[in-house]
Amino acid sequence: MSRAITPELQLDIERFLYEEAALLDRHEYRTWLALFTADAVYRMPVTTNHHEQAVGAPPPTGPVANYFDDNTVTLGQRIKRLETGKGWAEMPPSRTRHFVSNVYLKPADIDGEWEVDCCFLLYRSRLERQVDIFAGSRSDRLRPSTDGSRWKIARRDITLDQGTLLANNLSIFF
Amino acid sequence: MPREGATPDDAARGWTAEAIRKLVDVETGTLDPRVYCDGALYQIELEQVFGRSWLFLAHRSQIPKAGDYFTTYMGEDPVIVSRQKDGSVVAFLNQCRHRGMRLARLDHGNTKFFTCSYHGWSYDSAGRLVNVPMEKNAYCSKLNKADWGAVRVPRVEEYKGLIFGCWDAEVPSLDESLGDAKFYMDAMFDRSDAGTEIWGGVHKWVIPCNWKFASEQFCSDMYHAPLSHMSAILAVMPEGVPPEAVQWPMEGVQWRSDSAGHGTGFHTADDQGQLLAAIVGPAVAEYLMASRPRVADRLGATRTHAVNGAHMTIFPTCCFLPGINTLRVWHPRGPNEIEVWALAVVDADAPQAVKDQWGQGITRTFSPAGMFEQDDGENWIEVQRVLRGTKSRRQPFNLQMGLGNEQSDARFPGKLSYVFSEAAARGFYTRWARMMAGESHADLAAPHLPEVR
Repeated sequence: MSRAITPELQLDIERFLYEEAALLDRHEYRTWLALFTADAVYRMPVTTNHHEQAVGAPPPTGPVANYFDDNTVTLGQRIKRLETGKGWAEMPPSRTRHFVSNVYLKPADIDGEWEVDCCFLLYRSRLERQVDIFAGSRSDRLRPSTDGSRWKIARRDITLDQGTLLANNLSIFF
Repeated sequence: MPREGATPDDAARGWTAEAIRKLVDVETGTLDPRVYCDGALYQIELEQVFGRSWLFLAHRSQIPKAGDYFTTYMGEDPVIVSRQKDGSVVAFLNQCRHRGMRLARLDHGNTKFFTCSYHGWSYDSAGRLVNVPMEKNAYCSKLNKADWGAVRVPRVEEYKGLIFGCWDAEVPSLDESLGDAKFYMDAMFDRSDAGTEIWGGVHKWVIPCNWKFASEQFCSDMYHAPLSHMSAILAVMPEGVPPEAVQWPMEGVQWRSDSAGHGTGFHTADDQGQLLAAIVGPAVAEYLMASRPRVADRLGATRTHAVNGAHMTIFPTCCFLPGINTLRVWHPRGPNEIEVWALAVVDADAPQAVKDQWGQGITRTFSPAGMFEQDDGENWIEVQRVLRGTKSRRQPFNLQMGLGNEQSDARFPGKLSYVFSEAAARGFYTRWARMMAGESHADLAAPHLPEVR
């Protein structure tokens, strides 16, 4: 398979990310989950203020706290919770807009797969007047697929730029 | 109750000890909701409650080596918690004595010196002022550095890995202040000689609610769990378990301090770790079940088998869930906001794979994205917003559950009631009112008055 980043490939992957974002904004979570490979990991580490970061050295080793540390089974549990109609943090649901930009493709170590970086801005409005804005980046591994969608997400690493989260929860997906 | 016709601002001026005590009425089982939203009460709280209570600072595993430090808060005051060469722990105000600048601006690290980034005054790991730029030329060598060290937290003590500090030098020892709470805490923090450690790092997030909603819930509120958390319980149950098969257990015990404001509650029926398996993961549950014989040798059968699904608060703001093992402190940020700082606690001698699953399981259930945690904040936020209204803050809250129904159980020490009770909440708010009214530590040691007189 070609490793060339053609305009067609760039457009195809961007369209895939837009379609994915639209599924989240329409709360079509089961369809969204089907975009992940069975072995996918979905992570968002905690952002900290530490010295190693300041001087550009690698972060300390050992377990890292995450906000999300999920696989497709636990993502499915989160969706099941929403489907009960008793998940009060999302009942009524948040209104969200997922903006995706700065989409940057790199060939992955497996032919045909792509490392896809992007920036995101996520606007969330809830109930009467709650508004949260999340900014960050995502690093996805996309794998070609013939099963329902052109691509599947095999890994999603999310970086959120806030240190102390100003939102009262992360009851939505990124 | 507020005086007729008094506006909140009017009532806020000049809170007397007598007026404060009336906010909490354990004879009728009512609570004046201004405890959650009154700005003047909040300022009194910072002095009388946060200035005089043992406050959780850090777990010892967060600062294992000499020079390690962790920055946190006591109430709204930023502090540095620092490991010394001799292994002791010192805490001091995270503020330069020259012009008040924050000394350490990172979350944690290792350093010999804290050098202020404003003019360069430099302090050692115990907070002593050791270097001042241009000391000879600009200060003419007249500055007495010994007088200008960072402000020390006068009392720092540790219980089973938990480091607490208190601004009041006269406070009784941490050990004495915990009292019977230690019996219940040990079920989480004293399962082996190796003790516990923190997995990963700190989750920090903001919830627009008063700190007492959160602390009270961990102290006394099993009642909310079946309703608030049913969606999460259903979600984590194994596939094929029908919703009607999920029955919340009814047996259980609640404990409260005689006067210290601490509380815990738990279910006494042994489910063999089934709920923990669903919440934190099967490997953790298997590990906990396998460790029961050695834990029973250490703590006895009662705390090994009959303490399940526990919640606990060490007054005012140190809260944890033994078994699930989330540990957190609610830093107050005004009457209407908290910063939650939450940690994952694991057995230090557990296999790494168990520790990792424990940390992951806590992340997925009790963190800002946690399936259980999300719904708690929802409740507290909405109450807080409703209390903006003048009518809504005049309606007494009902705190009557289990009033007059304290019970005894030979297996457990202290004041006991049924697991679904607000006895520990009444104990929590009575402690709060007594501290707010300015009672001395000697007076505070006397048990609360009986609820029904």
